[in-house]
Amino acid sequence: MKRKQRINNTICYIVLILMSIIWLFPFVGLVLQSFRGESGGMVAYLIPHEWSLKNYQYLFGSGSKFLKWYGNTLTIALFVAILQTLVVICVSYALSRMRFRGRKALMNIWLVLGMFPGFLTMICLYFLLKTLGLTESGAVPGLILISVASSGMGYYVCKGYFDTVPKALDEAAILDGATRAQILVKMIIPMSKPIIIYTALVAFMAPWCDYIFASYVAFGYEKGYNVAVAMTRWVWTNDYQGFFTRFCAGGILVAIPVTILFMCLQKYYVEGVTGGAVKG
Amino acid sequence: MKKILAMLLALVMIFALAACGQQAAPAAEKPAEAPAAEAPAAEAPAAEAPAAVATGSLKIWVPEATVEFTKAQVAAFMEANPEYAGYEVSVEPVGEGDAASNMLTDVEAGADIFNFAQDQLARLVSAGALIELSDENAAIVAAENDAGSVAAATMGGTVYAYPLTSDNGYFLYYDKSVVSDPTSLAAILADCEAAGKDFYMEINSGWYQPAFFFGAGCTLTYDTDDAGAFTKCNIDYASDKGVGALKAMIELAKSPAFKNGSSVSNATNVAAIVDGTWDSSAAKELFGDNYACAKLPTVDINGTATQLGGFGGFKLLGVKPQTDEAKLALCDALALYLSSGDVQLARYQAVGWGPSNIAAKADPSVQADEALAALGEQLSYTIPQGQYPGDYWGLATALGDSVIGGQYNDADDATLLAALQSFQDTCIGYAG
Repeated sequence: MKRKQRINNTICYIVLILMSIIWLFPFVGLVLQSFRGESGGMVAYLIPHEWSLKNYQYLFGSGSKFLKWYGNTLTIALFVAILQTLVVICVSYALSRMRFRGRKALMNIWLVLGMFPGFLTMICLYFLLKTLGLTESGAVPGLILISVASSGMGYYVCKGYFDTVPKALDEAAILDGATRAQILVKMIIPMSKPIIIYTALVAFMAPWCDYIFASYVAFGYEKGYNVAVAMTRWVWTNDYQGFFTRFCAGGILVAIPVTILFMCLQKYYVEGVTGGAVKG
Repeated sequence: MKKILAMLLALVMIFALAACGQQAAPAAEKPAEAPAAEAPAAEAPAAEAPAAVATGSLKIWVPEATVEFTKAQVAAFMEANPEYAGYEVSVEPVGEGDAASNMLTDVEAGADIFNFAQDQLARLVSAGALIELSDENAAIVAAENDAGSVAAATMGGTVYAYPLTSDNGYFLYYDKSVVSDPTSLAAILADCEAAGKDFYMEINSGWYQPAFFFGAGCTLTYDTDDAGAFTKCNIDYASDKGVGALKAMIELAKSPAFKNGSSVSNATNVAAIVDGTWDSSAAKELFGDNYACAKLPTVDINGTATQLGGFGGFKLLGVKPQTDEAKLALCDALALYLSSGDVQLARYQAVGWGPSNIAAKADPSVQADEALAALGEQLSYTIPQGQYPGDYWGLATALGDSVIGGQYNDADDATLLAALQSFQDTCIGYAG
């Protein structure tokens, strides 16, 4: 019996190790390439012949607008994370606690609208933003507006979480003279930390990784690019010779804040997802 | 009641916003036609509109490598022509592919002067993104540039763009220490196989693949009307010549040394690569002292050694149609200056783009460039790349992928002919 278990364990570990090697390989490759000093192009070997920080130096140097792009991405992501969370909380609270005419219809319409991929409306949105002057040099506020404007539709998980908070609490608060707003701010929000963090994280990630909208809205105006749009160009070898290692270095820098964020908030993240799913 | 009132108020606000938007946009665009400056310029130009004859802004899109160069040249131009001092010129790095697709998406917001590859000409003309050259500028362009580049900028008898380079073609970069005879494909492959190194050619690309078909004497061109629509396809791939070319591709793909690819920086373990001048510095770095260039090799097609052909390509500078006459004059003058012989030569010296201007081409520094010399030799075996429908590129990739995948490895002539017949019929189907 013991022997059989050992064999089973061995097989499991071999499979797991193989899987993790395959899974980790690209990340290790990315990190190693970003420290390669000799040439900027793609090469057949993994370990750099010459270790150097010059790719990172390039990104922070005056010859590169990387910091500007990074700043753009961060601005968009932070604003979207804050505003979208506020909108989602308000919408979810209203849908969870209040009963008004058309509530069901509204939820169904949003559900159907949510089925359409967002980029179907890309061209329309582009021309709308252009009319408002929010493309090119106005790309950053434009992108914030796009993300926040549609954010109310993502209320599902959050509303599901609010539904799990007993209504009796609301009633008790109302008896004590609390208004709807006070109930939300003083009771529901403190009890819903996981779902709020989950919402904010999701809201942060979407613009952080956005490429399609960002490339359209910036429309060739380099200072309005986010990191994804700007750095994609570095792998097009015709215009950007030997930028591959810089691309890797940029990729690492993009991954860092997200990794830290997830590590710190992981606990809430899992709670948020599972909590919201109970009655969603 | 309260609700209805709130709703009405909200509606009023939306209409107010919409009205603002509509008014602001034309006011900002009239004097400058420069949406880049739209937001901050919204209030300012209204006051100075009557005096706005010679002020405004102008946007130029060029690939990143030439941004600094272009800025310097624009500054030199502005200094020499103080009458345009009221214009503010901005240069943005936008690659040729992006420039064309952005212009097609929204001509109004696009650049006033932009760099593009000549295969985009038909699409840009039909999208109304290019204004034809004035007769005098067209005459200057035609007189000063080589015939291929002028033909590439011309559609239906009208010149639509200013040629910048005639260096968009491909030839062979090779490692002297590995490849002893670059004139024959069989010899190159034998050398590569012996050294355990690879020969790169991107035969699943509609750009590199015709090297075989055109070399064998086949044709594939499209006729377009003045509006850029495809009217007729001239193709004879489904013939003995075509089958011979396809067989040569199959033979190449069978070689263990063959790798599909055309970018030095993405290639590993290279001994020879079919690539263009844009990769010359990367190739020099890669091969070091063993760097060498040559025209494409010959290949055995139906028993005779046949020179590989292909496309010759050109970079062009286009001007967007303008509503403002004064600005159009500036755009034309600036584009003519940026494409003039002296600037082309300076551009070659700064970033290595091979000139199309006849005088610049004759300059000793251009003559001494190995890659440009090899390309110059190869260009005499090529046809200037005309306009092709977008679907052609996908079709050519599919054919190349079948060859690389080994689908035709054991096929007889009849099967190959049938495959080419279907390719040919599809190509004809794209026209008209």
